[in-house]
Amino acid sequence: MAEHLLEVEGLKKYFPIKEGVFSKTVGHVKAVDHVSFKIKQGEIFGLVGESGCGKTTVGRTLLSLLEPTEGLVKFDQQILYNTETGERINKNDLRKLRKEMQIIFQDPYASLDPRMNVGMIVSEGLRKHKLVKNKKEAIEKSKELLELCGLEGSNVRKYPHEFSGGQRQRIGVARALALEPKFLVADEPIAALDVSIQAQMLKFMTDLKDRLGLTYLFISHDLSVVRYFCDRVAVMYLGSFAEQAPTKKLFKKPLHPYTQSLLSAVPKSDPAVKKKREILKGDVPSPADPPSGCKFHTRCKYAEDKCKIKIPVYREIEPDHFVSCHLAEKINA
Amino acid sequence: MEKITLKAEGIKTSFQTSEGKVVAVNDVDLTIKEGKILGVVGESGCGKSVTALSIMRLVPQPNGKIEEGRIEFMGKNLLELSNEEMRKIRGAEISMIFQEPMTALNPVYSIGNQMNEMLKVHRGLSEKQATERSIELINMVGIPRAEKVIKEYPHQLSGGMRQRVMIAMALSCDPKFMIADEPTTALDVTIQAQVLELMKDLNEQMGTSIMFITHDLGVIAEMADDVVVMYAGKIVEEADVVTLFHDPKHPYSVGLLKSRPDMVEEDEELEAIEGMVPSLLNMPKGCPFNPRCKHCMEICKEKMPVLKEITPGHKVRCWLYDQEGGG
Repeated sequence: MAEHLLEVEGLKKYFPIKEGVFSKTVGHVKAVDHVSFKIKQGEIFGLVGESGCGKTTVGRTLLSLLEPTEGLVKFDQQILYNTETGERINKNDLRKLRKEMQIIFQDPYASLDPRMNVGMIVSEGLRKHKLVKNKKEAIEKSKELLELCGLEGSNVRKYPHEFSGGQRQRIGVARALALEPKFLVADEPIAALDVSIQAQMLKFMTDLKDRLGLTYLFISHDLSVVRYFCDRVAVMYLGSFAEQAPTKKLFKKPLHPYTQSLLSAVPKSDPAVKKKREILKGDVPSPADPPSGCKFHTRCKYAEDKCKIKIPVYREIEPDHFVSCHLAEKINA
Repeated sequence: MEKITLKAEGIKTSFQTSEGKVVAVNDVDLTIKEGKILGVVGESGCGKSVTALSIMRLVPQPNGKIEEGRIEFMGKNLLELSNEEMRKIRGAEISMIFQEPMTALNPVYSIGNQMNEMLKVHRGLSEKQATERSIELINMVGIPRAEKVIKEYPHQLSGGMRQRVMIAMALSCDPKFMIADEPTTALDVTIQAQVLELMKDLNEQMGTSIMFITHDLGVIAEMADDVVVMYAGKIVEEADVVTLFHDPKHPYSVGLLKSRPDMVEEDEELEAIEGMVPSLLNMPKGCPFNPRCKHCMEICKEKMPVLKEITPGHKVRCWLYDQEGGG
């Protein structure tokens, strides 16, 4: 088996901005701008960043739910698309591949169809892919899946509104697991849940991974959750990766100034420790009109002239630790 | 002896719903000391926002009702004031910051218009004076180009800026007391850090007492001097912030602290509280936490424990610490 389950190279997704009566394209929102990474078999890859940094778009473009602007995505040795050679997977193969890669959405209230009962929701994929012979078998299978996700099988006849947020999220997971995928994109799966329920969900997802040998792409804005849950983390800023490293390394020694201030912005959990925080000035610039050179230079306290002009190269500064900053060596010396 | 800004005793607020009466806040006592920040933590539906609305007397009518209690502020019982008198206090002496700045600001009025209104009504300033003061306030909360911002509308500002405008409005009449209901929940971490820093500065410089409502324990650790933990409409634990984080007593507080990934050490297991928050319509008998509690005893299923002071300033509502009472 190949070491890497998923390989992404130079992924770009631009959304056109249209204006006027004839919807003339006047510019682009560079939601994802040249992103490359690899996810190993059995790994939990975390993607963190502030709202609007493009993390959700990465997840969706990977799954071919959105058409990429440019780039190469390889899943399990199979090329999903490669815009350089114009190669892309045919529709039938893509449908087969969809079984292998599933997604869990952020909002458990919006991602379940309120008019379908739970059994139908969970087994929709199974029926679509004709993996079950009839409705009865579909319901049986849904029951098993619900039980796997810690809900009672008898819930199949109920409707989504009868469940709490945490339970709905489990239904979402059961639906994602129905096709026995290898790879799950979890897009902020716990952000909408209460604190005590978040912990339940995280434990449950860890447990599933161990039992079913899953690989996750875990999208989150919560650094402490990522630190606890992920093996490897990439920090995104305005559509590009600022830094990527194994979790322990990244949290111990962040090299990019953005990661440093992001970590410092997280409220400390011990009231006895009074720390001086590094507060980032200003807001995130608009992705429709990102700053020239290094996108972070408008908020970076180390910024020099060259940061304003030249786009930094995303490079491996230490073994297995990638950074895109001109000054990484200098400021971390 | 520390001075007290606001003292609430035995607040009970209920709502009439189609499925019957629901008591959202039940027998809640709060003391906010002058110049201090009181943190109120709890999960959704525990009654923390309703407590705040009860203090402001903004409980939605006609379904909501403050049934019992006393809220003492500046020598008056707020619950006995006429609507007219209350209106004079609201915004001027007690102000409130809401979670979602987009819904709290009026989209069809400019920022300056909304800020001036408060100053004109409560402080009797002229349009010109009010505008000057608004610009001053907007500068104070760290928004650049204040002269332009007051002419803009809420949708033209980013989330962080809107929340700053809310804070500027809340401060405009130099209130003695400010209620902040999840003021940073809708914001990104770096923006949250900016807003928290701003609120902390204002608290220190102007001596405004703050009641800070949040579900985020990290924010509490950072901001609060004292903390109350709420569960299902009741206070279950009350202590100063260091004591609560280092020596929590109530099983719910302990669980809440253990379930945060940033609280556990590396390689340590996360501990989740099993089950879910009970529905207010269907409360378990006895202690409302008993179905989820690891230490649940017979008495917990029978009788509600009282909020008992175990060491000075540290109160817990749990039978584990109330042997005499429990018998």
